[in-house]
Amino acid sequence: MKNLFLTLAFVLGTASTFAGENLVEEVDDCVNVTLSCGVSGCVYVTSVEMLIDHIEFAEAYWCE
Amino acid sequence: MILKIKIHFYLIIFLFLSFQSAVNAQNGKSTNYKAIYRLTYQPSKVDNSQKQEDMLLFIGSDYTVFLSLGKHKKDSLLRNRKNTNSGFSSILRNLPKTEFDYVIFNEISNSNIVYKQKVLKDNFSYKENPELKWEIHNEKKTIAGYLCKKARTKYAGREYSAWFTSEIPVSSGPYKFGGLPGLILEISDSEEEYHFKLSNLKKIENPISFYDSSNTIKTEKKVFLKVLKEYEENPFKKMEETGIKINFSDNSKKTEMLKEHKEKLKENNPIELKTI
Repeated sequence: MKNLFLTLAFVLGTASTFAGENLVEEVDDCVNVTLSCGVSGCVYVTSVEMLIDHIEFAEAYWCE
Repeated sequence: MILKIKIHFYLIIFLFLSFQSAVNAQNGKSTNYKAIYRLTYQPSKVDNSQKQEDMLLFIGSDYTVFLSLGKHKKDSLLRNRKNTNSGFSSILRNLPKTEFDYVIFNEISNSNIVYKQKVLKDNFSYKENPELKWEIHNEKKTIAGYLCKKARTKYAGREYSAWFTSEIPVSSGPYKFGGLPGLILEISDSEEEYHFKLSNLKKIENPISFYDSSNTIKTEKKVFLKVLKEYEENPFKKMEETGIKINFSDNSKKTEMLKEHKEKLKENNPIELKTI
């Protein structure tokens, strides 16, 4: 019974230690973009390709 | 007198229907069937890992239209956009992903292709006839319940094996491939770097039409490829010229991203290895 209690305490303690950690491998950085029509905002990207893709869409969405 | 009225009545109906048909033909290319192909491809020349995307082939009576599912979803978002400045980050965060931004129209009767792609704010298109020379073989297999025959061809620096079915008498297929006596259900290059395989084919409840942009720049393939290459090599320059301002909160991140981008360009493994 005592061993069971200690085991449970260990498992729960370990789980709660890691519960709050952010285990995301990549963090998207905010790039401030102002479009050709003046609309601006944050674009969260991890690559130039992603940035190009987002800006092209944003131009078509807000400026055309 | 009554006969004259009847003749005039039917003539008016006939002319009205002809006019409607002409207007519809000018308004857009209507498609009634949708084929979904799973594309498995190797984006890098040096890294053997493969990615997958779903690609769509919309089939009409005279045309087929080929584009990625992601591109189709993005176009749908643009068609249904709300006129508001809000939601900038949230809309972009949920943007459908695709590596392929082109739309390919295939005029079935003569295999003439119109390739369309946007470069930043400019809509470009070029015409091409791939002039595919097919060798049809006796090998057969069944794909998605359709009996298929094998055919081989070469295009843009790659050798391809295709499986087509005459049970679907549409002389078209994925990407720019067509010209066989039936729909291509599967096609891959000899290195297995680009492999399209049909996963679904169905009739569309509400036919989808594709329209030309009014401000498309019609050009030649080599001119378009030059424009695209210049843009890909220095995208920020083109953006600045268009009046777009970009501000990285961390300049070292910008440098790192640009370095990775240049490496990716060097290793890029496009479907067309030869473009002349």
